[in-house]
Amino acid sequence: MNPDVIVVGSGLAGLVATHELAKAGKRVLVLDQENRNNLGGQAFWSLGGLFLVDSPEQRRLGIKDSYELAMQDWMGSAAFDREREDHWPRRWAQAYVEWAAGGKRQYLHDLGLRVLPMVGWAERGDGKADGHGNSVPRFHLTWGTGPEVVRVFLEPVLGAEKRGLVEFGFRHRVDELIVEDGAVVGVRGAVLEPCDDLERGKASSRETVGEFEHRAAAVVVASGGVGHNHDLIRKYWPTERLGKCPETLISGVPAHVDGRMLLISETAGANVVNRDRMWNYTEGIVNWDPIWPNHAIRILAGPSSLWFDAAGRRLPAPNYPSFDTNGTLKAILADGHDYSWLVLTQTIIEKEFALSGSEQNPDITSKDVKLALKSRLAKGAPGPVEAFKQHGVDFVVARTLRELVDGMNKIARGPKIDHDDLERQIVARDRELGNKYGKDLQLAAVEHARRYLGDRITRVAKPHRILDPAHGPLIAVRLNILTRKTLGGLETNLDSQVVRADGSVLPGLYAAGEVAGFGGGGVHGYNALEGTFLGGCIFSGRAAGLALARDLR
Amino acid sequence: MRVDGPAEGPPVVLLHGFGGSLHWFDRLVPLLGGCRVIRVDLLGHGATGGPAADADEQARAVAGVLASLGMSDVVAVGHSFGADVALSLAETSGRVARVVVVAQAPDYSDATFPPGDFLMTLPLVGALLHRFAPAFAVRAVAAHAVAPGFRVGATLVQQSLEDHKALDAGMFPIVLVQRRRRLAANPLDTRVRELGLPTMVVLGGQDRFYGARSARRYAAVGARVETIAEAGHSPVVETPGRVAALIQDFMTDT
Repeated sequence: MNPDVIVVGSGLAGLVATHELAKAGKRVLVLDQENRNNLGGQAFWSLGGLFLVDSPEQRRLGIKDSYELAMQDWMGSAAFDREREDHWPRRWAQAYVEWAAGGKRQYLHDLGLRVLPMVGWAERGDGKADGHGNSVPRFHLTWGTGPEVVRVFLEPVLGAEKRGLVEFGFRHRVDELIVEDGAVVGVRGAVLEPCDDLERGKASSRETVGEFEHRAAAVVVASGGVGHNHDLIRKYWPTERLGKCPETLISGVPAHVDGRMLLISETAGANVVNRDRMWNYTEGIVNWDPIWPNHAIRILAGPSSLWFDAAGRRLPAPNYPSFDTNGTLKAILADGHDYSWLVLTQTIIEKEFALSGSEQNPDITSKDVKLALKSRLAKGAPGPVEAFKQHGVDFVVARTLRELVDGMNKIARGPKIDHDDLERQIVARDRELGNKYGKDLQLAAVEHARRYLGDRITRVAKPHRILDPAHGPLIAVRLNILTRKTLGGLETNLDSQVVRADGSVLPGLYAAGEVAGFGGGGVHGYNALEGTFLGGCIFSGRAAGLALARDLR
Repeated sequence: MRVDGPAEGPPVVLLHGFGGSLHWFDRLVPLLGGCRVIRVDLLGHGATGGPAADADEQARAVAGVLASLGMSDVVAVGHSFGADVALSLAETSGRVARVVVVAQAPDYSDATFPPGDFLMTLPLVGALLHRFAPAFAVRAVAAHAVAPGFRVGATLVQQSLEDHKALDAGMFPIVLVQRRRRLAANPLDTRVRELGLPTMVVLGGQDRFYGARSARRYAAVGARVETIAEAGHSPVVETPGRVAALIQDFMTDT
């Protein structure tokens, strides 16, 4: 094949770019270091959340959202403060919110993607109108989760493969971008040992069996972030902003998310910006049934669970579950430990615990309406949550608080929890329940959330005393820091063209998805609003595809 | 009238379209950082109210505003019908250095209007229909002003209703009948050529009134033409970031 464009990476951003290019009749060679089973990359494992603004789903639930409100939230969360490095990220943020409030839903709808009628409320913020967080629910869950988001782009791409427009080179690891006369003209790399039968997500062999070189008019780098590369995460960890980097990190993404192409692109002349901005979650639990090494699952908890640091002190307001990821991370790390505790009741776990990831939500992933209704509305926790409660190493279940504390102290990596002190704090919180009002801000937040129909029905338990045996047993969960997203990356203009350190375009090189900080080298700034990662991969992959389809002769 | 931005910033005057108001630029203005931005409600529109007026008369009024502010060398940005005003202003006032035409074809030769528009041009009938136009009809017209699939948010719908209420019915024959004749006799591309000032034309690829088919005509008279593929007839609302970036880039073009 004599390709017009080489796409490095067969994750979501690469597939979207390939789809747009094939649609325009361009020939595309897609290279990936993993096998065919891994098509779709990290997106396959995701929950399929999409950031949409003022959607019909929101309107049906009575949510009043607007472009203006979403811009306020995005800019408040991003908190862009760097003149040079935030130049393109600002422009991308503007364009992305315009798209999320404009054509995004239609674009995906035309491809066959559908979202659930219930809109989730992620990152409820730091308590300031112009600060971080979503003012209203905006997290639209794809019916079919991550695999469905992948499918709507993969199917047309596989069709183009049949027609000879697209060719895949699996187990092709790119090691170098070929630069001639100041322009990127191709790629060189190693062919890795074949492993056709290795399941999706499993770590694969790095043995090389050959070399390759391919040339094309343009190269699109869509290789993902550094999520599984703990060395790079530690190297760029913003200690002065978040506190000391955790000693224990568990991995929220597969082993192939190694960030290699960042350095390779940099060597070719690309500018990498905002490396110190990353998005790691505080609610990580060790997967009892792991797929990739050190496999972490994120708990998506509703707002009712009480959150304590490693020493057993309640985290300061507003560090409640699903409010302010980086703010809470900082609060957890502040006392020198790298984990925290959620304490809750059986009633809360049944209504408020969900697990992130397509494989942890089999009902929605398989688009099974009956199973979804049964598992979400029936008594008891959803199957996968119950399985973690039984098998997970991070879970403690007990009838009394004393037993609970004993269990917690068995798995604590740091200081022992003092029973009396924990009890005092929980009883104090429980006493605040006597009136419909009170001074506990977390309880106020719970009451407040229940004014939103979606939360009331599916997400937020009726406030009750944590120590009320009728709502037991008591549950404690040890939460670890889970690595996930790279918010900085290759600096790109609005056509996804990679920019050099001097601000000029590096001819022939494009970047999309997480490797480009989801657009521009950091469209999220310091904080994400959630539901924005898949969307950023689609938006930046599409921008690269459309620009190349327009400009290539 | 409303003025935003630093007093010493390069001046930009924004001219809205038929049936609109200065609020149609609410999304664009904050993105024109560093510029001194002047906006007015045109005659027969918004808070200005009063009788309807054609583009030439509108331009004289705007020239008066610029004179009272002591502004010259301004960039005149006209959206839709506002483009006629921008060109008239440039031709007659001597206060305009550059012109930006947004989402406006040179004439009506291949324009598509929402069904029933001819009723609005009839004397009396038009005035009555305008007075008693149901909200859904106004919403439908607002939807025609953006790209298919773009969701006209509650803010914009409310704005359209208020603008419609404030609009003088006399504007309908001026825009729908007289303007058709005027543009046929003296299309905007001809005027751009005769004007001889640097001009940029921003078109929406999904404009339901005009499309972006006039790109070649404008390019032929030497204008810089930029098409925003995903925008409809109202790029100032749909893709304000792109429009602002284009305007700022155009201002520094040499």
